[in-house]
Amino acid sequence: MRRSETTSTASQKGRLDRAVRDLNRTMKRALKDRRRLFFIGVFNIALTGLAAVVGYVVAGSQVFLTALGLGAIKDGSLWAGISKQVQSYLKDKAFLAVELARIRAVCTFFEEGDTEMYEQARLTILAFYEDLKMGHEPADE
Amino acid sequence: MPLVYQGWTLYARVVKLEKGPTVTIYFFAKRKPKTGDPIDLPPGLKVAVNKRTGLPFLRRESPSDVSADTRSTFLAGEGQVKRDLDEEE
Repeated sequence: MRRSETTSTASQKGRLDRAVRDLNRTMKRALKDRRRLFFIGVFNIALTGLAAVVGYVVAGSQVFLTALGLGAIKDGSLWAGISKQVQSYLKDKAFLAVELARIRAVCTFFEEGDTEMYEQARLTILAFYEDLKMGHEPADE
Repeated sequence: MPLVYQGWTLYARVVKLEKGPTVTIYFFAKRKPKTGDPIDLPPGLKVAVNKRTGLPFLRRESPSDVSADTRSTFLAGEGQVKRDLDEEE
């Protein structure tokens, strides 16, 4: 099917909004599992601390130390297992937050009827994908 | 000195998003935009040209170090975004 070259500005705005929505959705999907691991790791440490404090209040320092010692072993082994995933989650999240913010900003600045700016916004999104592909290939040229 | 590529001048504009960080966006324009300053090519970026429209845009010089999982998830959704933008594949 041949693409129509003449598109209304309203639909151009709609297209950019749809694309940004899809990019945000993809970001959530890409990070979802690793995000869960990150929060499991953080909550485990928080709950270990809470257990130690409650143990101290209820039964004294020996229970506090025991809870801390066992918690350190438990959380240490847990973090040994998930640390690589959590690191890649944090790195990817930081990268995507900036890249998608830039795309959102370009799309925000698109004004009705500004075909030049629409093309620039569209190319910014397409360039984001081209840059991702570059990491997949040994040579991009 | 500002970058001019086949009649297109590169501009930068600092944007504070309502929900998000302050970012710098780059764009090419033939006429002077309402806001934005003409700039030289930022480090780590290069000029590329869209085959279909012939318009210049900026690309990274080297690949980002985003993980393979994230990369493949995004590339799997590329078709949908291109359809959103009505870009011929």
